[in-house]
Amino acid sequence: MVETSAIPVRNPASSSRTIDGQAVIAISEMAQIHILNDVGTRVWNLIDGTRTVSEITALVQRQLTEEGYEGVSAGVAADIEEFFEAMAAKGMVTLGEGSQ
Amino acid sequence: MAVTSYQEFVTKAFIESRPLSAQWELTFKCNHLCGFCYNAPNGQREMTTDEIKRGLDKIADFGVLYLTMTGGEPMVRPDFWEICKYARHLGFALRLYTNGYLVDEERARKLKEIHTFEVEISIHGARPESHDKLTGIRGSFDRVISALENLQKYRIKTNLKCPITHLNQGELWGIWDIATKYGASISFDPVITPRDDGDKSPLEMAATKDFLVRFFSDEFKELRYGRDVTKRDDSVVRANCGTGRTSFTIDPYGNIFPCVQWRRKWANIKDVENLAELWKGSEVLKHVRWAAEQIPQTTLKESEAGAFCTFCPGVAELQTGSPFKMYPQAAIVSEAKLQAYNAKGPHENEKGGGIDCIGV
Repeated sequence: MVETSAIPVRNPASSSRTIDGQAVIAISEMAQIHILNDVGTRVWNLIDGTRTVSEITALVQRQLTEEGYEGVSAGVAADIEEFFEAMAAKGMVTLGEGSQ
Repeated sequence: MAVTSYQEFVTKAFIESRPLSAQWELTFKCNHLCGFCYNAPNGQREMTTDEIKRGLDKIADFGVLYLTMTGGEPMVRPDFWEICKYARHLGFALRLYTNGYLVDEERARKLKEIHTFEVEISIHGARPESHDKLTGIRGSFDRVISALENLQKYRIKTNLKCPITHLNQGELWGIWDIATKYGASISFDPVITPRDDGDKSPLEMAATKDFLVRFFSDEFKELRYGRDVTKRDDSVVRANCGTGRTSFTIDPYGNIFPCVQWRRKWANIKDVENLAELWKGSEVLKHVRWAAEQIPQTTLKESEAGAFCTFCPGVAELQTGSPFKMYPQAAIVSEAKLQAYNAKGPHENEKGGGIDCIGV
């Protein structure tokens, strides 16, 4: 279970670009390549080493709402938490302790 | 179209001519004297550190993910680390193509420190006598082994590249064993190319046809990672190769080419303002993409062996004057593949092998 106050930090061995709304992420130490979907890409691009999981989730929800995807926005929080868990398990991010 | 796998992602990039990778020849200077090297320095001034950094800014803005530092030998540049660190700062997945001579423990540690995505090293023999003969530098084999030890120690993904020549064709299993021992992957390249200035002397090093037929038979299947010889499948991407589509090459003077082999200049990184606009509108690139689409329907249809051909329009143009004209090495290798293919008997329900030179 991901703490929503945790601050995700990208693996420093990662390189990424967003192409057509999809992030492609290469991680050198594991020679892994990941392709993210739309919401995953939004999450990845909001990880800056200062925002918490809950702040990133709120920003993604706001983006989706502003773009007219209210239905998606409402249910996305649990998916994002799960996504952070999966990214941490794969070594794409570390989840540092937040100050809240 | 959303993609879910890396293969789909690369195919989409290919179809849409979206460059994912770039090769940057940082210098033509080299500490080796390989007789089959394709580089042809022309004495111009090579780019300065600042010029390279400005160029890197441009290709990062353009969306390129993979950046291969190559040469010459890129590590001989005194500003090599400054350039690599800057490239990582811009978010490139950094690849290094080197002869390995300078990869001592300290440099391997630094490569790890900057999170180098992978290192490719040329190897030309399984023994010092054969490798050093081809590089022209005594002790170069031992330095490759030392580089492999150092890269393995720091767990950096390493690929060995071996151009097959008639001098090393009897040592491929020994080279394979070296790769296995140090946890590296290896690719054997059966085609030797002319120099970029058209000098064909490197071709004298080519492997014999008899050997190439054996190389594509089951006898060497393990060295091809279990891959069978299959016919090309041009049904998805409908082009001969990735030239002008998925990658491009920059030489030490800043000239930009569709790929490492096809040296038709389409811009200079020092002058270009909007790389994306030029990538779309360049007449040179439009022509090479068109040519790459024509080749499977023309050149490769002229013989039965064409179905097995890894054809390079850049080499063809350099060697014959036309990007569509079959050149001897491609013909010999595809004939060898055809012979090996036929020797295996009927091929039912075969899945096509795609194309070899996608450029990513």
